[in-house]
Amino acid sequence: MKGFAPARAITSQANDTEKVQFFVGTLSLKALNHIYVLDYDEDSNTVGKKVYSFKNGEVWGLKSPHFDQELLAVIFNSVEDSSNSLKAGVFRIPNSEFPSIPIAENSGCVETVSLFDTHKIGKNVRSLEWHPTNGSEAVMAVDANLIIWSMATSSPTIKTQLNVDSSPDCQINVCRWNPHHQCSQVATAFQSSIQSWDIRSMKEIWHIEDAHRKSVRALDFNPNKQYCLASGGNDGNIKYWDTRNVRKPVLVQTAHSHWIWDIAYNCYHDQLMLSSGSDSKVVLSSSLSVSSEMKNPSDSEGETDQTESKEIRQDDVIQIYEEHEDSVYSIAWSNADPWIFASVSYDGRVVLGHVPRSIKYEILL
Amino acid sequence: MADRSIKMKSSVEQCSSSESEQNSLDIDSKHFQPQSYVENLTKGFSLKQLMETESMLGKDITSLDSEMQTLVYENYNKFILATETIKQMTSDFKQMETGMSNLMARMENLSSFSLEINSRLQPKRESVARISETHSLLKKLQHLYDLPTKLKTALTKKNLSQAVELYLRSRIVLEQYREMPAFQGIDSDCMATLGELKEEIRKNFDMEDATIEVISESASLLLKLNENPDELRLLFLQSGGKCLSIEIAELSKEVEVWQKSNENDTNVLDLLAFIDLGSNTVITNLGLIVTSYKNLFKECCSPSESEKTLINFTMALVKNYFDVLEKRYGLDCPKAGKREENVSVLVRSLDKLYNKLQTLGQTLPDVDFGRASTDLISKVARSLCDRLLEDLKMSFESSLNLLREAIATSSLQGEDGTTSPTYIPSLVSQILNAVNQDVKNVLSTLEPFLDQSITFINMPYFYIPFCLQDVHEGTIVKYLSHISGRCEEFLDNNESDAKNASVDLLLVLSRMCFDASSSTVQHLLNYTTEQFRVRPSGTNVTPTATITATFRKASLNLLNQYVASEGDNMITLMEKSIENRNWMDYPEPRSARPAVKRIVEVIGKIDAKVGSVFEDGSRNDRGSDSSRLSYFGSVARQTRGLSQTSASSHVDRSLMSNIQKLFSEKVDLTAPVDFTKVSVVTAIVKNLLKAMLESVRVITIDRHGLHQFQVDCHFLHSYLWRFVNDESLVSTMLDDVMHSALNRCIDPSILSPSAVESISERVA
Repeated sequence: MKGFAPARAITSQANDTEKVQFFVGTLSLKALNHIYVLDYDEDSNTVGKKVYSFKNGEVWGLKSPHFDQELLAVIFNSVEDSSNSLKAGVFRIPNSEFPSIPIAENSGCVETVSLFDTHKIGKNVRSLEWHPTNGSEAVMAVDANLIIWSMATSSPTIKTQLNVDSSPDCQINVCRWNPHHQCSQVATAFQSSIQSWDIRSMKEIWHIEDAHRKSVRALDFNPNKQYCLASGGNDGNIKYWDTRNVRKPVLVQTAHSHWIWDIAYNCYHDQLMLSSGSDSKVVLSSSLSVSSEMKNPSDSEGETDQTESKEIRQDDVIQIYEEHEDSVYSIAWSNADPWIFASVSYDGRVVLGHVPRSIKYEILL
Repeated sequence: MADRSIKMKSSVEQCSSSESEQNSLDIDSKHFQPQSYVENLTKGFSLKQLMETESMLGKDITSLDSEMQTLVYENYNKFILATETIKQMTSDFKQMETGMSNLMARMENLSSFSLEINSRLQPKRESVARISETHSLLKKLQHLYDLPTKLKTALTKKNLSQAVELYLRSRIVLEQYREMPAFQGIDSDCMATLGELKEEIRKNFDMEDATIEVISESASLLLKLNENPDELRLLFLQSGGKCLSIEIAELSKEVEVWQKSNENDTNVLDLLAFIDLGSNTVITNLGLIVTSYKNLFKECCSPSESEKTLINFTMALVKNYFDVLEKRYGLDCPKAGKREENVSVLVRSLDKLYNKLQTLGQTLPDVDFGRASTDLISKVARSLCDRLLEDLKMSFESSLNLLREAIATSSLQGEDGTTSPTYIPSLVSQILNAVNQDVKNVLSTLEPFLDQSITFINMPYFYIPFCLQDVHEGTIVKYLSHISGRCEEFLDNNESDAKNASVDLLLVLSRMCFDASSSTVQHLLNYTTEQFRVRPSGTNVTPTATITATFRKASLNLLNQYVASEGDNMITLMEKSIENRNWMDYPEPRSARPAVKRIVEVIGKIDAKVGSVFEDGSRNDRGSDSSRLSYFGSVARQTRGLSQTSASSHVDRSLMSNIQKLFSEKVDLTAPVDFTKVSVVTAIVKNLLKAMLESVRVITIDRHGLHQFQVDCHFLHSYLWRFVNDESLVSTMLDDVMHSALNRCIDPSILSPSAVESISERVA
């Protein structure tokens, strides 16, 4: 599949667990931008595509909330005479009745629901995420500020705000909501360090200095296992951390030959880790030893060599997808089918991938 | 007689017939024939000669005549003298004959008298013999009666052996006549005393300070007294063992004293004295026990049984002794224990021990003391090697620290970055020399083990394993792999070491590992082999190739790490300079940005630095001019593309950029780095330009910003091409940067190449 405009944002539709659906946003300073809605039909192995025009600017980030399949949080680059800034808003994809068609045609226009009022806080919205369970909250990084928004009202209001670092050039690269501990923690990454914050007190819980060489670009919490965080950065390594002891990573996997831009745990089988980077590669790797499916040592004693044969391939790169020709800035697992994922590269190419059958059977059986 | 004279004559004639020809002319010969002589003279000589011969012969004849006369006179005198002497003798003999007949008669008289006396004395002699027999019997009886008292006295005087002798002398009689009432008393008395005697002797076994001699004597006495040999045997060994245990305990006290002592303590036995003490007490006495045991019990016990007991006994004692020795050699606590520092003393002491045990082994051929002691020696040698390995590691650690200090101070001083070109190579050779020297020192420390006069060296089950497993594997190979492992520790950036490691250190270590893999490892292993004269072979020996491969790998990893670290600072500079700036209100470019100039400067320094460490390597030289032109060509094409299509037609533009990508080579970021300057610098430049590309993509710029990028790219290209192995690589990557810059520009317009060049050169 090939788009024509550059793109750097993709997200999986998070509400409907029946549909394999992805949203992709385009990046164009001169022309009108679009949000593509891609529907994968497994039976016919075809992808339906709907295109909605997006008038607010370039799409830099997309997040689909878990409670509404038509809503979408977007980070966009708005250019106003002689200055530009990254802003964010919540938008609605119109529920078009006509079926998706293989050839792109404009299916309508994205409606603005609400905009985040960020210009007082900072210039650029760097990262945004919905509360993992509660639809009335969202976390956002604006320059060096961490903000919790209350979404209950018609326009979002600031619930709490924290300046992570006072130095002028500081930019948070990414912020992620920890799905454990009643969702009371948020992790941020800026430069080469990772920090975790308690959002009730806005105090630091722990921090990792020099997690990656120079820059940490991606974070993800293990959705099924507490205290388990993965990070990716400029050294091309995925590092797995136990947040109770952050002095050393639990596991380091060298996956990419250039910077890692995005990583994602598979929500159903968290030993599957997807990563993408500016070496134009998407890498599927296994991290069984730090996953929730890792058997306790005491359990495995009774079992036979079946577990041993599994352990042989536990922490390996499973497959490298090299279909992209430019840097891959964003990836997403499908919410409906645990074996399908999508990635988008800067040249606008979207690749739908699936976990190799042998791995699938190995995990299921 | 007649026969013989004829034979002689004929033999003379036979012999003369052959020689008669020549001898017939010789005047002194037997076969001289006057006739032929005269004929010969008259025939062969002149008259004058004849006259001379004649007168000479005449002279000869007169001289011979006179000589003969003198001889006759002399002999005549002697003859007369002889005749007189003979006459005298005949008269003397007649006198003697009468004397002799007188003597004969008298002798006959004497013999008849003697016979008579003999016959008369015969009866008396028989009675004397009877009396003397009775006397000796009585004496024996007396002895028997006295026996109990004598035994008691001997006992009270502690003269045990005499008592036993006394008893033994009369035992047979006693046993024979035990039944007779007269003897019963004596016998029972004796038995009682004997019991006491045995008790007394047995006490010897329990005595605290009994020596081996006493014990073995006691045992032999008891044996003579027909005690149960099996019981005695055990008793003997038990008592001997006790005696030895005391000695071993004393030795172990010495060890404790030694362990507590410090360097200057003088009342501590040194190792040699200690071993001597041990040999002279424990081993000597053990030898004594073994020999006396064998002598005492070899007849009275079943040989296999007694041998077995003895062997078990000996083994147990030797084991105890070895336990003490192991402590003394500091084997019990390898880390903290005190050790003997002087290796040659160590070796000599081991040799003494070994020889002593060999002599002990000769008395007990069934026990392999050689094996046991070699095991101990091997242990000591292994622990020595372990210690040396620790020393080596420490030494390497301090060389590393020196190296880091040197780098740290030099980076402080050389703020301008102009390090001398020999600086880094000198650091490399410095640390390699240190490694070399350390290994050689260790090998020379081990030299005492090579002394051929040391007996245990020649034991094959010591020497070969020692050389291969302990020295070659346990020390040298382990040391080398420690070095490569230690170097690799600088890779993991979670190690505190790695964080503090400067990039220069990585470069030095990489070069060091490279040199090690190409020569040093081979050299050191060969040196070891030469020193110890054992060629490494077998499955337990790590092949050289494995070690060099490890170093090679470490070297490459370090180099990659160097490339990454060295690039990082510039990448940060590049990223910051691009990302932290408002490009939307950018002034018209006047020159390349300072950050870009700085980067070019730094790369030049890196190039010089890496060039001092590695060879240049080959460049894919295609001529600078054409390549620079091709870069402009690419920008110009872009410009044309831009001008031809409308600004809003982004579809065409990105399509065009994709098509263009098809024709340009894709830059392989993962291309392996090799050990050449060009390869290293190329890798750094690639990382830098890739980072530049990524940075450009996250900003939004206006037309002046785009112009600035044009200028920057041109500037970078005109300086960077000379550092990389393929100029097209720089062009391609800068093209990518320009494409992205175009994409990120809100109102793209392109400066003409000449304008770009002039702005860029304004700085240069």
